[in-house]
Amino acid sequence: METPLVSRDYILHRIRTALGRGAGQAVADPPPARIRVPQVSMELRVASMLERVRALAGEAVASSDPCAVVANLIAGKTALASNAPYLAECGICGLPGVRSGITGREELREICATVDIGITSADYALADTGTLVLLSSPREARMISLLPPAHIAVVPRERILTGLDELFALLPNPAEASSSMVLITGPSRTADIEQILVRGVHGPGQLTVIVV
Amino acid sequence: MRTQPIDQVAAGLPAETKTAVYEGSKIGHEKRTKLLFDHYGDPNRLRTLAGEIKQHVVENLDTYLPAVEARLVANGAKVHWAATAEAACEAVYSILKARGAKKLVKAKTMVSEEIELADYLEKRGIEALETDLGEFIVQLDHDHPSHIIKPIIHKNRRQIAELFEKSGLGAYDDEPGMITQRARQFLRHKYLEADAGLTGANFVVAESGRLVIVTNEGNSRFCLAATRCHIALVGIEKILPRDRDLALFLNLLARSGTAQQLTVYNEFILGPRAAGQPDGPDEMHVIFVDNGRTDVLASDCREILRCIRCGACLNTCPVYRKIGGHSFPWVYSGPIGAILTPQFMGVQHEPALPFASSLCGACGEVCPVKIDIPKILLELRSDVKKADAREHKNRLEKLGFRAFAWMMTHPRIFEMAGRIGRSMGWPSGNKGPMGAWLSERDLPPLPAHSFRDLWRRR
Amino acid sequence: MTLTSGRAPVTGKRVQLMATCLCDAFHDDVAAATVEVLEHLGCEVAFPEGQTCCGQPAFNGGDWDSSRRVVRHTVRTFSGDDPVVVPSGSCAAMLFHGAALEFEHEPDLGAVQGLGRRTWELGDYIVNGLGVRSWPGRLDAAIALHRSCHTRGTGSSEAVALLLASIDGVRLVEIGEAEQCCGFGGTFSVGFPHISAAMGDLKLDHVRAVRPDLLVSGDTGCLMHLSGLAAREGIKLRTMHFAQVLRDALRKRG
Repeated sequence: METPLVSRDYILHRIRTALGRGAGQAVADPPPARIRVPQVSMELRVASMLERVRALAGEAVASSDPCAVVANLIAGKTALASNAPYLAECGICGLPGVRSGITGREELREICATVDIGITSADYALADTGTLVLLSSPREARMISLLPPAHIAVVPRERILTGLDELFALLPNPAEASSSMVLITGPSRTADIEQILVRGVHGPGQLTVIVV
Repeated sequence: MRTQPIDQVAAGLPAETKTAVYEGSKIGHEKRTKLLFDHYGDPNRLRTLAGEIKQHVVENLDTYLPAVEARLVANGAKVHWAATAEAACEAVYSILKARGAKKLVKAKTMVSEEIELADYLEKRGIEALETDLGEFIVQLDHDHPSHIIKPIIHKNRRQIAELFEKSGLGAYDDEPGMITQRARQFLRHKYLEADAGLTGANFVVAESGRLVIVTNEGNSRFCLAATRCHIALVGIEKILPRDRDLALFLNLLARSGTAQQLTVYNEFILGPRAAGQPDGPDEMHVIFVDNGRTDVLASDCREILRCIRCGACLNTCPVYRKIGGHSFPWVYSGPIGAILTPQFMGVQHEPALPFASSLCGACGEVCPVKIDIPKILLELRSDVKKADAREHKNRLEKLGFRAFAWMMTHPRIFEMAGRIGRSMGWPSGNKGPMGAWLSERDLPPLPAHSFRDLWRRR
Repeated sequence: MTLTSGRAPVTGKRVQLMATCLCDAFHDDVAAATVEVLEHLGCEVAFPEGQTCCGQPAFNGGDWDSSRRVVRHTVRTFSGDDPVVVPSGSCAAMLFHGAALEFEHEPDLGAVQGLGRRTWELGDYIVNGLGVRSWPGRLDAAIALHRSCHTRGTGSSEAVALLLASIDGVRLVEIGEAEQCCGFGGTFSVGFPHISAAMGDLKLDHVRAVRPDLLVSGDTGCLMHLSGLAAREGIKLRTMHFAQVLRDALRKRG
C-alpha cells in the first residue's frame, strides 16, 4: 500500500504534468461569483416564505403568539425542543409534553428516537425557496430536526432573507459560525419509486414553519 | 459497420423496464426545463458562467487541491489521497479498522460506485449499508443503479414490493409510501447502531474547506448526525473556489437534476463536531480520489471534469430514454457515461460507446456546466478510429470509409455509382452494411434519374 | 452548438446549390423543388458539377482523414464568395460546425471556416438571409413539422415553421416531444438499428397522435428513416421535404 504522502505527491505530480506546469504557480482569478440580492419588503418575504413552504407540502403560519400555535399542534403528543434561547423566550419550552435542555449525546438520541415532534428555531430563513437555515451548536442539535416524524420551526420574521444569494452575501463564509450548517427546504422526500413523490424518508415527513 | 453490443442489449430489455426508464427520464427533463425557464430569463448565461468557474478550477487543480487540503486540516479533518480505486477502498477500510468499526452506513456517492466500495468492505467483514432509498433497494436486490440520481429508474413498484416481501421487510404492498415507510423503519436502527457514516461531496469549497452534501431524503444528514466518524469520498475535481459560488451551483444542481428550486437538505460541513455540539462526528476523514481523473485532465477533453453529476443529460437523451443505464458498461450511463467511461477506462476498452449516440445535441443543451458533450463524442470517435488504425482493427470499416472518400472526391465515380445503385434498387436481405437498416424499414422505389441528370436537361 | 463564427451577410442573389449526395442520387425532386423555390425568389442558381458529399458520414464515423479529404474537395468545388444553400440542416451543419472541428489543427482551417460562414440551410437562407417571412400560394394540409436535430442552435427550425405557417391552407400541428431526435443519425442508425428504430417508433407515435396530412422536415435523412419505418409497419404516412411543400404551394397560386 502506498503511504498517504506518496499518494498525495503522486496525484499532484500527475496533475501538474497533465496541466503542463511546475509546482507553485499562482492561480488565476476565478470568474466573478454571481450574487444577486433583490430588494424585497419584509411583508413580501413573509408571504413568499409561507407560500413556498406550503407549495412543498409543509404547513406554514404567521403568528404573533407562536406558543399558542405550538400548543395546538402538540395536542397531547410528545415533543423535544432545542436549546435555542428564542424558544424558551416564547415560552414553548414550558408547554406540557415538551422536553428541553438536553445536552447529553445518548440522552438526545434516545429522546429524539421516541418523541413525536422536534421543535427548533432557525438562524435564517430563505423567502424565495421556503428554506430554513440551521447552524449546529449546543443550542441547535442536528437530531431534533431529523429524527422525529414531525418538525416545527419557529422563526422570527426578521431572520427571513430574500434567498440563497443574500445568505452568501451576509455570511460569505458561513462556516465560521458552525462546523455544520444545513438548509432544509420542505419535508424529507423521495421520488425514487416510479417518480411518485413520497415524504418522510429519513427525515421528518411533516414540516411546520411558524413565522413570528 | 457492425451492429453494436449495446444495441443487442437494448433490443432484449423487458418492456416494463423500457417503460419505467422512458417515463422517468422524460418527466425529469420536462420539469427541469419548465423550472429553469420559469425562473431565469436566460438560463444559458448561468450555464455558461458555471462552466467557466468549473473550468477555471480544473485548469488550476494543482493549486486548488493543496489549498483545500490545508483548509480541511485546519478545520480538524484528516485528509487522505487515493490514486486508484483499490487505494480508495483501502483508505476507507483502514480508517474503519483503526476504530474497530464493523458497521458503516453510507449515503449515495458515485465515487463509491466507481470503486465498488460496498463489495470490498463486505468481503472484509464490514457491513456497508446503502441508505439512499434507491441505492438501498438496489443493494437488497444485488442489482446495480442505472441512473446517476435515480438509481432505480429501471424498476417498478411491483418489482420492489416483491423484493421487500422476499427480503422479509413485510408482506407484499406496492404502495410507494408503504415501501418507503418500511425502508425508513429498517434503516433507522441501522443509523443509530452504525460506527461510521460515509458520504460523497457534491462540492468542496477551496477558500473554506467546506464540504457540501446534497440529498432529498436526509440520509447523509442522518449518517453524520448519528455516527462518530464521518468519511467523505471526494473526486479531486469537486472543488469550487468560493462559498459564494454555491449560490449559483446549488441552484443549477437542484434544477437540472431533480427540477427543484433547492434540494431538501443542503448540508455544509466544516469539520468534526465542535465542543458542546451534542451530536455529529468526532472524527472527519476526507479521501481525495483520482481513479482516472488525472488521465482525463491530461486528455483533450478535460472539460468533462466540470461535470456535477446532475443527470440532466441522461433525462433528455433519446438513446438513454430507450435503453436505460444497464445497457451501458460502467457506473456512468447516458451521454456523460459515453464520454466518462472511455476516458476513465481507455478509449479501446469500450470502443462502441461514443458511437451510441445519434449526435442529436440534446445533452449539450441541458448541461448545467455547458460541457459540449456532442463535440467530445465526436472527438472520442476519432480517437477510437485512430487507435483502431494503430492496432490494425476494424480494417474493413476503414477500407469502407476510404472507398467513400475516394468516391466522393471523384464526381464521375459518384455519379456512376448512383446510376448503378438506382438501376439495382435497394439491396434485399439482411446482408451488408445496410442489411440491419433495411431489415426494419421499407423504402420507396428509387427514381430513374439523379438530380444532376435533371439539371443538365434544363 | 451554436453558429460559431460570424456569418457572411447575404448581398446579391447568386447562390450555389449544394444538392447533397442523398438528394442528388436518390431524391431528385427535393433538389429540383429547391431550385424552383430559389428561382421564385429571384435567385440565380448555380450547380457546381463537381459536388458530391459534405463528408459527414466519415466524420461521424470517426474517420476524420477520409472526411477531411471529402471536405477539401467540397471547399474546392464551392469556391468564390456566393452563398452555398443546402436543403439539409444536417449537411449545412457539417460545413459550419463539423468541418471546423475536424480541421481545428489543419493548415487549411481558414478556407474551411470561410465556406462555413457562407453556407446556409435552405429555410434559414430564405428567412434570415433574404428576409422573406411569408410564402405565397396555397396548400390545404395539416402539417407536422419534424425539427431535425442538426438545426439546434441555428435559426432553421423557426424559419421553416414561419414559412409553412404563412401558407394559405396550411395548418401546423405540434407533435409531442418535438425536440427529441427521430433516431436517424446517419451511421448511428446502421450501427444501432434497434435503438434507432425504437426512437423512430416513438416519433411516429407522436406524429400519428396528431393525425397530420403530411410529415415535413428539412432533412431527407430523417424522412427516409421515418417513412421507411412507417411503411414496414403498414402505417400510412406522407412525407415531404419543406422545399417540396413550398414548391407545391407556388403551383397553386390563384
